[in-house]
Amino acid sequence: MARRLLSCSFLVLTMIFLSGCWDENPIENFGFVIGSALDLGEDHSSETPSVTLTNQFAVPSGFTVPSQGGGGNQQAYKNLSVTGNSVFHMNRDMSKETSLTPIYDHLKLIVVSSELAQQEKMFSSVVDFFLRDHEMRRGIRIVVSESSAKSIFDIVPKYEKTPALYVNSIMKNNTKTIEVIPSVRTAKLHRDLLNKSSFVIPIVKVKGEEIKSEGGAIFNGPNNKMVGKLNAFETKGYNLIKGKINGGVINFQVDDQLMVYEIEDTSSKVKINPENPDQVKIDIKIEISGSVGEMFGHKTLINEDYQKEIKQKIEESIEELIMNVVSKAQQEWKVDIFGFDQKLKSSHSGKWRGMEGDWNAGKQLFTKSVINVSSQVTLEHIGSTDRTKDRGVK
Amino acid sequence: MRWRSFLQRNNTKNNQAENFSIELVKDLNENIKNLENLLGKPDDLVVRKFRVRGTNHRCAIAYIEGLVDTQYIRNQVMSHIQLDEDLNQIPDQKQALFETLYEEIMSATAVKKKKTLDDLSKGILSGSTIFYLDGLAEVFVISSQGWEKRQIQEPVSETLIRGPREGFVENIRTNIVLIRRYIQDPNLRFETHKVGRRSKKNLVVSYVDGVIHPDIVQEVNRRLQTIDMDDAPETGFIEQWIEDSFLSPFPQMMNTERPDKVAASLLQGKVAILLDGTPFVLIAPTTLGNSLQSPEDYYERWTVGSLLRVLRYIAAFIAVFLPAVYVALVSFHPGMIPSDLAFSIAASREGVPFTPFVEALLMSGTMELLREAGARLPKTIGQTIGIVGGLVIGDAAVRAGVVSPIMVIVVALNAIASFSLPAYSIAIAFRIILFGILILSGILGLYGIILGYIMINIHIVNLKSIGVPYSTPYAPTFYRDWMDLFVRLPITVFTKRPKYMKPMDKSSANKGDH
Repeated sequence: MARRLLSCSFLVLTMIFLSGCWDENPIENFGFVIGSALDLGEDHSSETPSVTLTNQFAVPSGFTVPSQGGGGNQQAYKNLSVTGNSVFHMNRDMSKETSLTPIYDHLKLIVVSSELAQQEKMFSSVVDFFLRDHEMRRGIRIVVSESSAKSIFDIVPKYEKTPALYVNSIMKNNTKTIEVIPSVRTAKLHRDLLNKSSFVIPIVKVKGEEIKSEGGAIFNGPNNKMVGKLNAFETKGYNLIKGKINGGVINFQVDDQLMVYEIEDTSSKVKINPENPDQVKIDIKIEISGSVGEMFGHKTLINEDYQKEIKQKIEESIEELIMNVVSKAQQEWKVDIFGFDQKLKSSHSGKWRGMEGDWNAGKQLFTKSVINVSSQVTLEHIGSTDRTKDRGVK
Repeated sequence: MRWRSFLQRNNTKNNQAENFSIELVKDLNENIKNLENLLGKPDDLVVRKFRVRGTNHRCAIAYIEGLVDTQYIRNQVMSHIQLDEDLNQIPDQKQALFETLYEEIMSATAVKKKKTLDDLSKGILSGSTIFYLDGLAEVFVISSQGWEKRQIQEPVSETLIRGPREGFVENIRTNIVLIRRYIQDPNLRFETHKVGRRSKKNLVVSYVDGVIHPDIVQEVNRRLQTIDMDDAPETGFIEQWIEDSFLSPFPQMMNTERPDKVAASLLQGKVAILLDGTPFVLIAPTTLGNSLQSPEDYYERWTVGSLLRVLRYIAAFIAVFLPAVYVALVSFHPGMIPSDLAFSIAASREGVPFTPFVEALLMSGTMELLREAGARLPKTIGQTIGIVGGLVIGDAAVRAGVVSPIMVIVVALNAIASFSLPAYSIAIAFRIILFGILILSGILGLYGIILGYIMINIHIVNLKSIGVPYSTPYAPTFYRDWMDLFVRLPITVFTKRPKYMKPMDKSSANKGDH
């Protein structure tokens, strides 16, 4: 009996100890991939164009502050590039070139060059790995670079430890302006790809030794390719329609003097009437509240008529911003980047089923839709003071 | 199951201590000689022979020096028999004289008549004085205990900021008095047992009749009656003899030096077990929740008490799991650490020769060594250990690159958390479990920690303390008792005694709503 018990417990222990520790690998033996850049490769011989993958690895010792003086200003990152066809394969190839095991748990940023994004159907294929692999988080930020994606990773950032984290924090901290596209994470990208919706991804570009986020890359849902760019002006309109704004400024002219309106809160309501599929009616209603941020004139603002005039001017400039981007989307890019299709799908699913294939592609019903914009501006306050200068000489 | 029968206790009473139920004889000298022979003619046995004043009646007293208050014997016994002028009607007849002495002359308060050598030896060894009268086979055993005692002092092992400063002492009589002063209730009971084949110590079970569930008293008494060992120098012996599971790492009885804690437990319907010769009193039954309570939780206002409770629960988890979780995260799941922290841990671990698991074992082991060394050394040298430990382990080891600085933080935090637990016995239990969990996490990662946690829980719900589930009031669940568990609600809310103790008298306070 005792022998049997002993042998049983021996077997159980063997089972635990032999299978145990198989995942054990101390943290310092890992190479943390914090950014991945995707460029179009040089080699165009095969059917699918080759891709160059540049991974940015964190070098942990560069992250710590040296405890005792000494100029230990070690670079906190290391870039490795591999060219090939499959992103997955290239990632595995990466292990050959580094002594550390690459892991992707801490991946923060994916940069896709606009050159690669403009290739037919390439975009979803190259990001497939980042959506499919089990090590990937769903919150990786994705951006499009104007120049090559690798060049973003070659910038030596001044305030951040690595270029990838630099871009990541630019994307995180751009809430006070409406001139940049809100950051896009892989979870949202995945949804848009599955829905075949068109979407906008923020663009970053190298400007001297800095990186700047400006405008967005427009992707056509059905054929999954970058079809155009939003400039700063159009981005404002885009953001106003999307309505996810809690900061930002609008410039306008009153009495030929510049005035700046600071947005504090917005809400946009989109009403769609698909009675006639060939002429879908879309009403965009925007409510904005904010305050006067700066003025060049010297009139008193404590005057209802004057305030009314100001409000009207703001409304005009907002409507202009929006109509500008809407008409460009309808005529130039011919894709619905505003998410009207999702609205249609959720509130008019019956109708939508009939026109699903023809919205962005086919008959291109989006370009034929009639879009109206109305805005309502509230002037919450005029700032801390009415006037900062005297009336001047009349 | 051979091992089980091997470990099972032999319950048959097999008292090898000799029984001297020898009758006394009439001759005084013979009697004294018998006593001397029985005790082996010790140096400290004092025999004083004298005569009753104005008569020819020879008598003697015998006691053991040091155990007896000689002042008391002189004032209450000797002075009356030897010096009193008005001893006029002394009867001649021996038996009559004996009765007169008992009834009229001796003013000592606790006097018993005994007839056997056995009673006599028990009495003299426990500090009584024997009074012989020549020609009679009967003696007086006069209670005259008066040996050197420690004064009542502040308990060393359980200090409080606010609360009574009295602590139990080695003398069981003093300890009983301390409890009586807290609960002046006629239902407060003290049942005495004699423990130890050879030591014959007094063991007292104390409880409040009418509050406690009678089954608990019965069970405690039954278990105490099975005790059969030479000596029980400390209540720890009693605890280990009567506890429910000797394989469990958890202490199934609480020990305390504080009378206020004992009094509070008695009023909750528990028993206290006092043993002569030790200031530590056992409280049974005990639950896991009790182990994380401190008297101070009740003495401070309820917000403070609740905060301390919550803090203590967090500390308990840190004390058991922190190094294991660190090892699991660092060597199995680096993705679960926030990026910046992961990079800084990775940087701090660069060049460390050991795996995190070995490092944690090493440091926790060192911590145990330091703790043990500090506890055993005299107080004056003890502080040196702290300095040496702090410097050598904390600084030099990190500088030499033997351990990573984060590991030092983890182990230090773990040690501090385990010291912040109110009961030393539960803190030690947690440190034992810590090593088990650490090994599991070193082998299986977080999965192992969870397995370990489940195992601990299975064990706890199976464990009982004198028949009361150790995990109550979590499970079996008594929600009403939760108001004194993770938090401590205002005193005015506690109008009922804890339900899990099944007290006979359920109400303990009345806020005045009727």
